[in-house]
Amino acid sequence: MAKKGGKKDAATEAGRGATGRIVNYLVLFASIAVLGAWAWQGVYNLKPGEAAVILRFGAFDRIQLTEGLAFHLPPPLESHHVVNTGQERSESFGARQTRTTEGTPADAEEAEISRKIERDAIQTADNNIVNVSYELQYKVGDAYAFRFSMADPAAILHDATEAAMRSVVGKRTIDAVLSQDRSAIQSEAQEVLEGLLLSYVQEVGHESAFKVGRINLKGQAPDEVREAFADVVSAGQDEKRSSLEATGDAREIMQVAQSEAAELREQAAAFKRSKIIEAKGEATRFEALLVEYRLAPEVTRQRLYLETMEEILPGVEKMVVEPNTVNMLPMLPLGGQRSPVGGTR
Amino acid sequence: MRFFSILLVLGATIVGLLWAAQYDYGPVVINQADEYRLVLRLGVPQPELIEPGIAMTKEFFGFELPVRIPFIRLPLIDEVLVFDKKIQYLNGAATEIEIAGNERIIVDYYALWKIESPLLFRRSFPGGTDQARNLIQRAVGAQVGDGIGNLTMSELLSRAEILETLNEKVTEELSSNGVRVIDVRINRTELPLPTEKATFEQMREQRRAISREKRAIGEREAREIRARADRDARELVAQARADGEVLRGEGDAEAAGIYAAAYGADIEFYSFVRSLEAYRKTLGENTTLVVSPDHEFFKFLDPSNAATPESPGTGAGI
Repeated sequence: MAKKGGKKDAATEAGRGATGRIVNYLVLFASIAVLGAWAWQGVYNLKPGEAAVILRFGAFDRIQLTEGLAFHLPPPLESHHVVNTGQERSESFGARQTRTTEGTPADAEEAEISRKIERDAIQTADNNIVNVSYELQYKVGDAYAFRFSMADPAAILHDATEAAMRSVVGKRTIDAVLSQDRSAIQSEAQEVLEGLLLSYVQEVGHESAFKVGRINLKGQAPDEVREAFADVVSAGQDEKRSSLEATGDAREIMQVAQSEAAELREQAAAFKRSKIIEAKGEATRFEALLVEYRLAPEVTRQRLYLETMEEILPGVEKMVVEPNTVNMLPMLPLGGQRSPVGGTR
Repeated sequence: MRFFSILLVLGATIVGLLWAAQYDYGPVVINQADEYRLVLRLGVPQPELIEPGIAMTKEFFGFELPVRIPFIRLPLIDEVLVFDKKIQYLNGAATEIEIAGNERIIVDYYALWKIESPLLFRRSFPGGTDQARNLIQRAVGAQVGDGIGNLTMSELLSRAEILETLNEKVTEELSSNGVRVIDVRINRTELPLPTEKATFEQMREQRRAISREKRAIGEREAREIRARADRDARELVAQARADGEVLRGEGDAEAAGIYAAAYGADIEFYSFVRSLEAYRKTLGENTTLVVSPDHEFFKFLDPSNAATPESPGTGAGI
């Protein structure tokens, strides 16, 4: 273009008369065309979510965020570079559990290393290994920093995220990673990552190239030891179960004891009551008898005695023996089921 | 009209020149935000262009000027070299490193670096960025090995900032090459297979210990609960029994009072009646009674006694 302009310049000086005028117009027209075409270079269009970085003479001037048609001074005065800052992006780490079978002899070390790099196993502070998979959600932050401060922003973000996650997980125990501390790890890793990313754009004097939305972490015990970890869980359930069982037993024991206690109390109360009633009954009977007895002591006495004997003696084996034959007693059939309750006399 | 034409043509010329400069042609040099430019005048380096914008200078063919004017590039004589100003990413190859305690660990790291001085960089690496990358890779790798070689495993795992001083060391080493290392960071560590196996074994043992402990705790709690329940139950029953004894005692006492009150009226008759009662209860089928025919009961078996009703029996003299 520059060469063309130069030629026409020379031509105008030489131009005279009709041909000169035509040449003049031609030059004018050509110049306007060139300027118009040039100006058209400054027109650009932004789609939703996009931002344009405007450079003036190669230096940062401003960031254009409003969508639609826009204009900047045509290049090389100004230039625009479009970056999509609205789009939600995500990147996954780990979760690739593909472990090749062991024992490939040829360059085994090489294969071993690449195999290890495939999965995301992190050593924890208590010298355990935990498999983690996590997902990073992010957006492009500062369009200028994203476009002009790093040669390979995606790779840097990827490795920085890994480094951040590793440094945070490495400070914790495996139990913390697997269960309790997950959200704390997520937010701490995010903090570390944001710090790292900010430090990389420090000298550019801009905001961080990435806006980290969140990190979702999922930890898992490695396959090799998963059984042992599962057993811990079932041991915990066993623990709960046996104490629950014992609690049930304890309840039963207490119920049985309470019923026994109640029974004992009732029995005692019954005993007391019956004793008293019995006593009252006997006393009443005796008193009644006494009244009768006092009226006719001798007869009553004799009657009572005989009645009793009548009652007893039918069931009793009787032996009537002369008093002077006492020495024959040892010959009595005292053995067998006979109890000597009856005694002598 | 003529003036306007001249102005227009002049403007077009300027634009053309600038346009050409954008593609590193023409007499003006424009530096972009993410680039360095180095001008070599017949091989002699001119001042480096670090900052973006149109290159300005105060020098004009050896003369000092009072104002800054655009640097005039002489076509065909001046060569413009462009260098990347952006941070470069270097993915370190995963390497196995021996650390303290004869343990081995596989370390994967990355390094970020950038060109600090284009002239020094050009002198060191005529082959450009790829050539620089090789040297930086080697320098960083060596420093990583040295840096973590004397750390223990736990130190290595718990401290992310270990490598922070590494940047400075590597930068120092490479400063004469016009390169600055911004960050060296471990993004992965892995244990070699034998160590990993040992670690898994250790993990398994740890988990087993925890499982056993949990089960034992459950067992102990269960025993405690049962024992406590047993104790409570015994207490309860014993208390009930004691209460029962009190009641029984009361019953006995009260009954005794009643009996005493009733029987006290005639003690002799009471003992007679009570004795008869006792006989009734104690003498049963399995009793053999050895009785003398002289006994009171058989008194009337004797015909002499049966004849005359002289005197009745003298009471209960069994």
